[in-house]
Amino acid sequence: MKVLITGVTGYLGSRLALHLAGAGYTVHGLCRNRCSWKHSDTNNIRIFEGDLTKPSTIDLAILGCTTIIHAAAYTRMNDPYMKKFYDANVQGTYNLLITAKNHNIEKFIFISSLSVLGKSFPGVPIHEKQPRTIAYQNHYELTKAMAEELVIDFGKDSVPYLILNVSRLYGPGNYTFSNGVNRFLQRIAKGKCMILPNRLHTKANYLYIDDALLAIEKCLHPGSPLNERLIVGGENCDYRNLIRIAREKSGSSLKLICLPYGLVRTIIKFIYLVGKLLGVHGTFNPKLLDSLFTEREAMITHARTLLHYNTTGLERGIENTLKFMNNEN
Amino acid sequence: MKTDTFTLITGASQGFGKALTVGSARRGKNLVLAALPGSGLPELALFLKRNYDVKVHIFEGDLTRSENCHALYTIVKEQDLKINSLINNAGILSRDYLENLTWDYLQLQMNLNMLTPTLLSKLFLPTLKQNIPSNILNVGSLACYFYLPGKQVYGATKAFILSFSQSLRRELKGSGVKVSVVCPGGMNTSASHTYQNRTAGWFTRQSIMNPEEVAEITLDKLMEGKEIIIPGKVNQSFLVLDKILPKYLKELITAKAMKNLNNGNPRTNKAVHIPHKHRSHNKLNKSPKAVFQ
Repeated sequence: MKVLITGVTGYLGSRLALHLAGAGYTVHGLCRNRCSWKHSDTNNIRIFEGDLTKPSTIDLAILGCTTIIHAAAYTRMNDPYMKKFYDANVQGTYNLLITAKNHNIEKFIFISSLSVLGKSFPGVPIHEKQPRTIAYQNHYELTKAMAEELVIDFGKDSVPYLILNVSRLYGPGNYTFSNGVNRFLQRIAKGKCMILPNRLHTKANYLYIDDALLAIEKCLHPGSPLNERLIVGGENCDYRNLIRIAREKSGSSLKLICLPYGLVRTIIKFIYLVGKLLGVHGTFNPKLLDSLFTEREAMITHARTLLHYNTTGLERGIENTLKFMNNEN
Repeated sequence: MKTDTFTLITGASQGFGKALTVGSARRGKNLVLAALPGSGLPELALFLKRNYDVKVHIFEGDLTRSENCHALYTIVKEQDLKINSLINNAGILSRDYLENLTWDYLQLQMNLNMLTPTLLSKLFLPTLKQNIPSNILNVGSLACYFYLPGKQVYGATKAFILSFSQSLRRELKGSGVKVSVVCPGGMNTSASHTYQNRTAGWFTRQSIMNPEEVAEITLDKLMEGKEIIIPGKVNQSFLVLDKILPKYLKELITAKAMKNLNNGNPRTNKAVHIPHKHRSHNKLNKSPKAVFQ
């Protein structure tokens, strides 16, 4: 079976291409610049240069494919402007859907984010049917939600789909903006001191990348779910425990300084506004902070029942990730 | 404290209606929710029951049809649900020249924005009077204070709501039923509206609020019995400016709005490559099916 993976040079895309090729699939990988593909060529991975915002450039990559895994997205949450988010995440998805329709694609797997579904409530983790009760916090969430609407819409119009709302990914892989958890773990391991807002009880769901790869592979199997959304996640954990595990596994002597959330947000906002005046985008902005400290516990039973994937515990996952990062350095 | 009274909210499944619904549930109100079939109402009801200790009944039907309003009233009466708060939120927006809007759409808009709240207020008034202290909240719009190109019929329907609410409030003085009207400005409701808001000009962006903040303010002011609720300092200042600005300046602002509508504001029209049929704000479920649970 031939599978097109968009965003093949990204954190998830690159690992997914190698994984599926290893599992016997023929992978067509789409990226804007083939030089970004850092892996050696194999018989069953073909890299195509193309830009989702220019529909004519994706036709060649899709030829012969029956399934698309749309993993490309603009994720730079520190970008204050809408344009790139819209162009890549909404317009890009639309162009790909049109091409998918023209090529009678049998399954369009859209890699989305758990954050599209909003926040969790005490004792009630986010689930597939949960209505979103808060406004979209940032351009990324908003444009992913708009893209999901398009995917569902095309689903009624002959492009069968599967939306995967993936939780926070971590684990070995490329260093990109999408793997913030890896960077956070690295800072805990290497840092001497870290200032954090006093909301360390905030829980989120963390998914080890190898588990994500297995789950996505299961979506390609005959009889796998169609025309619905699945929350693909791992373990729920708060920041306090995440930091504890990372400290233990790395032997770090990191000192934590917890400041009131409002104070941290004000400082970040001040730095952000000064940066904006000077035309410099820092790595952080208040919206990103809000998003990181939004409760995002997830209920993953539905996806696990349908896809039969196992989850790696955080202890082992973090240990593997830290080992990988140590070897990289 | 457990209550046996209910709040009835129309257009409860999405946008501001959903925010009012969640806000009401958080305040411990039992709910009767009405919205179109297929708009996510059963999921919302389930979510509310799981998260808040409240009773939730749902009515799925198209309230632009008066028979569905009557059906809603009959079911509520048969089940003896004591309504002490009616929130007339369901409504439809539009932003285009009169000549471009179809008569079907305009009729639907006028039905839902004016006739439906009037009929529901009339039907439920005796129930509200039986369950005093009670209230009616009508959802207007800041647009009813301004004469905006492209919002000719929408603004007029909301002006009707403002006038209707103020008159009815006086009519019901001393009856134990208070009538309030909320006139919100732009809100980040659906994904497509949020996108439009975020790509609008700086001045407009300052007035945009999230529905959950607007709902909190509205429900607080409703409890205080306030007559006209204008959420947000920027929106309030718009009204003051409208009173003090010279006429020529207001005409200038209107002319700019007209120009944007005419040419298509480049800031708000980045979605030009995606045909209308795929934009979510363009879909209106007109199914007449009515279901009550």
